[in-house]
Amino acid sequence: MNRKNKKNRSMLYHYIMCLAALLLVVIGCDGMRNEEPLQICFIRNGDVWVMDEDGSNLKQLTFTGTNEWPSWSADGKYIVYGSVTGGHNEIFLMEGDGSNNRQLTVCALSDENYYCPTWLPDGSGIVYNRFVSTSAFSYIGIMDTKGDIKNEYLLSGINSRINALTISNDGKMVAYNWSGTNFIGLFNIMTQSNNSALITPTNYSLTWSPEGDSFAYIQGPYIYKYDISSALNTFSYSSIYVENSFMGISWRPSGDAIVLVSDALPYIGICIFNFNTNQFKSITNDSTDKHPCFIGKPR
Amino acid sequence: MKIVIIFTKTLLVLCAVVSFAFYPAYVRASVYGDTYYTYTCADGEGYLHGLGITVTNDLPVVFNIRNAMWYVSSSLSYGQKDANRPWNTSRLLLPVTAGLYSEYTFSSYPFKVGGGAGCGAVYIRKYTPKHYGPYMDFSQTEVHNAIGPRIEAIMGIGYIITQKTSFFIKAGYQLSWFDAQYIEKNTSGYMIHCGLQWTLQGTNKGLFDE
Repeated sequence: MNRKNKKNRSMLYHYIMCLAALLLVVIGCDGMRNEEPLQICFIRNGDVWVMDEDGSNLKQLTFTGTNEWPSWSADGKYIVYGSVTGGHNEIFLMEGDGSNNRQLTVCALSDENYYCPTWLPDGSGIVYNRFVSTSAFSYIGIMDTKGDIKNEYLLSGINSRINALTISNDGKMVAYNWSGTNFIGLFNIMTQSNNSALITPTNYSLTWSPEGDSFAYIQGPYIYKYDISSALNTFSYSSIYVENSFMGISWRPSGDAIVLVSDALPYIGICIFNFNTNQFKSITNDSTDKHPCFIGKPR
Repeated sequence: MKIVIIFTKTLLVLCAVVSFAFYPAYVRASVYGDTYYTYTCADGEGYLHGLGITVTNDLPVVFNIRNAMWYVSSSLSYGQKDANRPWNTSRLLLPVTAGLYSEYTFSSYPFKVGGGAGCGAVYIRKYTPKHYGPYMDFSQTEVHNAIGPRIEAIMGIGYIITQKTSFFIKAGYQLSWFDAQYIEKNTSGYMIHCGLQWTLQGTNKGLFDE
């Protein structure tokens, strides 16, 4: 009897030790997810490129056409961009690695063009500007990822194309810069109300903040932040080197930095301005670079 | 630090399972211990690989059902989705279930077949890119935890190697639910276990042994 009990205890001991060993093996698999360096898509010499935010791992994604406004979806899987083809500005979509590139729009009228595509924050569709030059009608529209237009709104008081466009985090408001005056306007998708002169006089690129309560824009060599609820410019940064224009800016998803393009010495090319450190860092040195956009944060 | 916390929690759960299951072992019944590899399909949370244990005890003959047992089972599985992509996620799944299992041993062959069902709870720990509102920072990670109910049904076949050891393969279906942001609400799917069953008390039983 004692021998049997001893054998059982031995078996139990081995069983528990085996469990502990197996457990350690499984626990060893408990790695964090593979964190990836943040990438930036941008335009260089008319093509879409991507790189890490430190400027490394450059990769060219498109090889034809004259392309503009690449915008990365919030989930990081897709890039939408504009491209001139057949004499029109059209909207294209590709995966983040450049594969599965396809054209979403085909201009039906000889005088119409699509501009400034960017993603709805939830990735369900694409916001764009369509401008018909003969009638001078300018529209804000939303299409799905197959290119089917879901809604399109005529912008009252606007008789020109849009230069830059950004959408709020809740997908309800679109801030834009229109080329007739270079004013910044604000269109409310829910109420379909439009204020074409929200910020005057001449402004440039703009991008909605990740916090959702404001957007940043460039006016001369300054970055401003416009607070929606208070209708105030809450701060500005003057020690930057951006003098021009519609080269594009984009927030880092964490909201602590902004990527933009400098066209003034000593920095030429894409730069990152960090709001925490108040530092300006150059990451490329090519005067053709423009329209940078962080992965995970559409323009 | 996170690994230590998970290890400690898991160990506490398994110790509780083992100690609870072994309490009656010194009273009368046969006790079986399974150690197995598990492959689980958790629907939106993807496929997970893991290791598990089951402790099974004879049940007194009730309603004239012979070869009936109750069991307590737990496993720890790991899975990663979209590996090598910026939006990759990973998760740990730790179910603890208890239920009834009935097993039939063939008299002429060293095989046994069985089936059962159980219920319990499941803990999930998920690692995702850090969210900033609707946006994501793929260079940072955030952790989401949730506990939900789980039910399962399983059937299997075993090959009796010795009086103390047998090899088994079991297949079943589990239904799990969570209510947490960034974790799929329904993570139901099939599961496959294969491993060794060790007879810790008593012996492998013959047909209709009591």
